[in-house]
Amino acid sequence: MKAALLIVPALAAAPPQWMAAAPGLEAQEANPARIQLPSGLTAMLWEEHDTALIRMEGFLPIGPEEVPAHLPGLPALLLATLEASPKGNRSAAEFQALLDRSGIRLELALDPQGLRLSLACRSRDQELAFGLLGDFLGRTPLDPEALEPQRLKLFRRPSPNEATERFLSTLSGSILIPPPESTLARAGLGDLEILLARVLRPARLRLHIQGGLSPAQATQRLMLDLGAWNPARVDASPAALPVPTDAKVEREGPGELLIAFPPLPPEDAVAALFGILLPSRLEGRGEPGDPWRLPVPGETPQAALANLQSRLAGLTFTEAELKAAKAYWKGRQALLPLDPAAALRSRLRGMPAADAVDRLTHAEFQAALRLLLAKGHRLWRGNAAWLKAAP
Amino acid sequence: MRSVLLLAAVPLFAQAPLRVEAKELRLQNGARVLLVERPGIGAFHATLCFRGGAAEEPPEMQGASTLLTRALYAETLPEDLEAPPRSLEDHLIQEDGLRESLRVERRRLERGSGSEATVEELEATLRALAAKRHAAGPASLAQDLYLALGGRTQARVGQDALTFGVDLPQAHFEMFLKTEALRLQSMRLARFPEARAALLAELKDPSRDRGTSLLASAALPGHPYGRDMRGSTGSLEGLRWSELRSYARGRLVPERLLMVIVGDVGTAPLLPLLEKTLGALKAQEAAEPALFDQDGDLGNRRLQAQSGARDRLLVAWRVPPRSHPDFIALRALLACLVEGPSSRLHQRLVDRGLAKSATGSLGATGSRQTALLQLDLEPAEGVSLASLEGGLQAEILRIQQEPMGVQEWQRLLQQGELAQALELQSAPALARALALGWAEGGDWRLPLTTMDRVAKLAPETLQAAARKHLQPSRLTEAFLAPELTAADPLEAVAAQVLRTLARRRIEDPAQIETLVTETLRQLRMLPREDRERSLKLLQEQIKETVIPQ
Repeated sequence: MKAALLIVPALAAAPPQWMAAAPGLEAQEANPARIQLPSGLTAMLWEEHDTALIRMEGFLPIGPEEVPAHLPGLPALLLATLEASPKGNRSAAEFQALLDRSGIRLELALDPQGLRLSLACRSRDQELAFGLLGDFLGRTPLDPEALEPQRLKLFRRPSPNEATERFLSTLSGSILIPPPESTLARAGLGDLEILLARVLRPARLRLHIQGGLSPAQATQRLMLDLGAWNPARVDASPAALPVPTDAKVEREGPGELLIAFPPLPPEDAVAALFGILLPSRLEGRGEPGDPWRLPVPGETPQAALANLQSRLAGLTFTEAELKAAKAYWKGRQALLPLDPAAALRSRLRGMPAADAVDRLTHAEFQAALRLLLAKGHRLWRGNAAWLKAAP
Repeated sequence: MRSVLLLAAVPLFAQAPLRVEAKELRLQNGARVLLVERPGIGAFHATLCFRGGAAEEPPEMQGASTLLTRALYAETLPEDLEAPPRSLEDHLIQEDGLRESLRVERRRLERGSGSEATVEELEATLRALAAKRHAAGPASLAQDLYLALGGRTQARVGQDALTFGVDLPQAHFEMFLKTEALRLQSMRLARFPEARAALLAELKDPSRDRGTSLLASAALPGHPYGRDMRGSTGSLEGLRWSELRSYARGRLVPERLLMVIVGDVGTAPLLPLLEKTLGALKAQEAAEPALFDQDGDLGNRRLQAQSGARDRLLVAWRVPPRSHPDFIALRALLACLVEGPSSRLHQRLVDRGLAKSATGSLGATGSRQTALLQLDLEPAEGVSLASLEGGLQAEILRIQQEPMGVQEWQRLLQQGELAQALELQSAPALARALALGWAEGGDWRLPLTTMDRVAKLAPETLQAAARKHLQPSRLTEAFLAPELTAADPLEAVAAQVLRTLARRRIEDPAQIETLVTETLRQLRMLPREDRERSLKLLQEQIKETVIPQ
């Protein structure tokens, strides 16, 4: 009783000759198909013909080193100004009204490591959707008149936890910081344009497309609407935000010890399995990649730190535990088709290959874990106004 | 005995971007099963939905549904699938008694007549008993049957339904059915004491946002939907394991169960498997409790309180239930007001600098009976709640008086169709929507036909619905100021003492908050010494309370 295929492809014809012959243009007949444009834009196409829907998830990384040290929170101001600026030949309001009227969902949001892009539409609206995406990415000159209202909008009274939040963000290498008053007052259009030119580049965009499109159709659409997006390069590199090694943190509530492990590539099988196994050894809560929070009531910060240091130094997992983690990971992968949106986000984030997880032996895992923990983890306790880098 | 019925195999939503075909089955014991097949995807999602949630709790069992959901579904351990042995029952009954003694002793201690040594002794005995039950810590990957397979679970309780959702790889479908049948059959609730302690701690957490529950209490006075969960601490503390078990046996019966399965369930014949597992549960007639018919026109109610970290204006209109013909127009009206950057409140309040955000919901407090259409607005910096209220009132008048333009109507239809297709593409979301359609509206088809029904409306229908239902006489407004922080500990203590005293005389949480806020405002006008003296007097009043023997 498979759901019927209702798509009538609007672009069933093969791509024109000139496109197939264009240098640097690649598309493979596989699922996912990899499509590369001459501009460097790479997209992965996951063909899914059971529903007449198209989804896209994209990511433009922004490292903390790309944000000027004197302008923390600049990416948030950039995103707000970008959204309020005209796109193509439409004002921001006209652009948004057209999206809404056409039932196309296009959202840009700030992530700890960059800008996340998300598009969803019905297959019948794909031509317009790709066109609007092209306008958004390639034809959005920052508008000085859009900047001023955004400064006011983003202004907020400092909350009691703001210093802690900013500290945690900086420590975890996150750019997701609300712009403080100083940034809102100082940042000019030039600063935003430099950051925009640095990050909004076709070669940096990781784009995954899912829906009833063939590789040829997707290539054609991308070429037509995003092929001309190729902005000039900006070489100036800003002074990076310093990573704090010590800080005063004042927090409300019960004591917590927080650990930030160094970021691990999501494609790494060891990282994936460590993320599954960690909760069995550490109480508290957290997600791999985010600071792990452990409640430490009634202990002095020094005692809590010493205790945790020794537990982490001796951290080891049995073969049976590793086997259980592998079974869990494999089961989770099997669940991906239940939620196509979550599956696409997961693919965009990256994941280890199934055989890499299968092949990993207990000895290899333990050795990699030792290396990971030796790289260091940072520890701090919420209401202890103190932070210490692990040796 | 009912015969096994294949009630319907209905292709729905045929012209929209996503086609959903559902097969409805009825088992011999009265349980219903709805199957939406997605062959070949290698996994399935199942939602077990029991009609009747927190709204059906008798007053002395308030909070029981939430506790039951946690005690029954938080984990899936092999030992929970067996009928509780006599020793476990003895343990739990003994723990019940000890816990009650501990509660009374702590109360005594608060009032200066108890003994710390007794409290410590009781605590130690309880810990020892819990250790004997192996109740320490959450289950590990290998222990939990579903986690070990990479499965995902989610248990929720609302006013109208208790739902438990499971995602698992296809190969484990039969194991899932057997597990769920055994769980309901044994009804072990082995970690009842731990689940209760955790729930009570959450309810007593002062940082918990009380805004929406205060609004519901004020909007639906005396109605089960308006009950504030914080008021359930007393009944939860006194609730015994055996009482919760017997409550569960009366509520979680096949007659009130709909299981929605979405995904790949393999090729084995489904009916015999269902009959052998869920179908083997004992059939039991469950009396449907009478629905509480709330009069919508109670008059305009206003409430001032301190909750959360920011200023907020919450408003709610009492509107008809989900089964009412106007409900779909109200849903479209809500979309027109708050959904997307082109919505009216975004354009006229957020974009014009009056509000930082504007969100809303329909039926969030329950919708089988009188529902609430709620809006949650946060003012922009420097904008008062009164100004924001003025802006909102102007928009409500506009939607009642000015006809909706073609473009706006077009936007509603297009966005609605996309949103519905995206939601229904996800197996867990589709299953939940179908289950709640049945539990709240009496028909699982409701979520699949939403956009068809909206398309049959006209802009004038929405205007008429706004005139009829968004009336001041149906409106409740809550003006929320930020919660007191530790910056003024005296005031925080005073608020706590005032709430305790007020609860002894007033039942309505909304009235309690208004009283506390107003008293605190008056206290602030006094010099600090006088405030401290007043606080001492108030604290004395608490100590004078008679302690239960």
